[in-house]
Amino acid sequence: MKDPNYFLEGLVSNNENVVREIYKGSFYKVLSFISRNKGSRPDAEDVFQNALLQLAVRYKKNKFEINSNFEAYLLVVCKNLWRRELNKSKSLVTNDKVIELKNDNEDIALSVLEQERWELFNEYIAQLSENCLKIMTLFFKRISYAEMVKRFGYNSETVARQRVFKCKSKLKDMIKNDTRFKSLLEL
Amino acid sequence: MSLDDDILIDNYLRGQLSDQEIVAFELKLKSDDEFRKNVELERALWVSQNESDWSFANPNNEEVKAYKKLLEEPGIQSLKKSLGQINTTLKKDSKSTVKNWVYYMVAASIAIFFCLNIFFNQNSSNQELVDDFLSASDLPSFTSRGASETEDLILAQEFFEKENFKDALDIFIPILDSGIKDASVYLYTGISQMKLKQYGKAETTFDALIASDLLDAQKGYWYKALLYLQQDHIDDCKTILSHIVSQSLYNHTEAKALLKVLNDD
Repeated sequence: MKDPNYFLEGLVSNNENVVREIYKGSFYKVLSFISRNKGSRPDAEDVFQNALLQLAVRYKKNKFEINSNFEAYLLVVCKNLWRRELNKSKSLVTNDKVIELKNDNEDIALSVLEQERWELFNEYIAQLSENCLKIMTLFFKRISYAEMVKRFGYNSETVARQRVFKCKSKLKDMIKNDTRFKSLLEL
Repeated sequence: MSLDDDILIDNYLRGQLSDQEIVAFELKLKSDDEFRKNVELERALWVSQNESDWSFANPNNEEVKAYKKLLEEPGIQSLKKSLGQINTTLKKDSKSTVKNWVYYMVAASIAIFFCLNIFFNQNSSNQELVDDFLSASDLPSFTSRGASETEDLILAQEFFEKENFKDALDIFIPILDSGIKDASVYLYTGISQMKLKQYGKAETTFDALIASDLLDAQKGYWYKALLYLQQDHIDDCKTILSHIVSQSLYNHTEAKALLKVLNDD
């Protein structure tokens, strides 16, 4: 397994051989994923290129570490970009105004921040206790409290709510204490 | 934050507030800054963790502006250009036809070797028989086609030859799904699925080939027979082999020989 930095450095320095290697190693996995999820080849090409630009610009700004292998990481970035694309059509309201999304540098810039935020959240979700992780997984899947009561054998919905409240508070505290939090989510 | 506030935010995110409650909720958002910050974080978490949603960033965020500026730098712009070029050339690359000749020569000699091996080695297990016949298969090479869209197929074939069936399928399946009718793609797909022990899927693939109006549709019977043999479904295998022999379909000579081996066991 090659060091992820080899690929990141290759991208930032625009090393054609490295970029070709990345295409050969990963493009078809992305194409396969996207074509199974309502997309076409041009969609896969766009997502793949934007993912690589995203990684390059992020590495250029701040030499971040990839803790898994590069291909797996790139696939996650592409999956998120595609998820983003599929959800773009929903009207996006933040701070009471609709955000106009453009398919250009601004769009890529936004997606970098969103990916970083997604990683921040997931990093701390993974640090939750096993019990918290179980109940928060159901919470994020938008499962009703009545259903949680059934699955965990709680006495009432109030107990389920209290469990979620406790775990979620712990999660939010960890996120808020992270130095990256302020810049990633302007409140 | 209190549990009451939490319940309120929760109901809001789940879309369970009445119109009246929403009005009160929005008023609270404006007047209580601590509450508003909590809602923002909860909302970001809520949407980021659900597949059917995504947490979009605010274009006015300072980090976003910084990234946007970096994206405009010449270094990144030239990378953008290179990515576009590499993407185009990858589709157009075509390989030397010399490789085809070598491939065919090797394939032919392997085929002869294995045919001899199969008929002299009567004690082969079913698995060995399948492997021998598959190795002897004269699967066509995509490299001989030369059209630009076959670049994907060439790479898939490379994966297949290196026995990296999973990656091969990642390419073949989208091609089949896109509606391209090509007997070779069906065969490579079905055999890859077979190698990965995805027997149900392999059978569907071979059945689709058989049901197609392609010239090579009949090849589907032969590979379906091998698929049954691989799973030790001997009776099913024999039924198909008999059909191949009686209709003089693709590989009927091999089918006859294989039937004999199976009947002798």
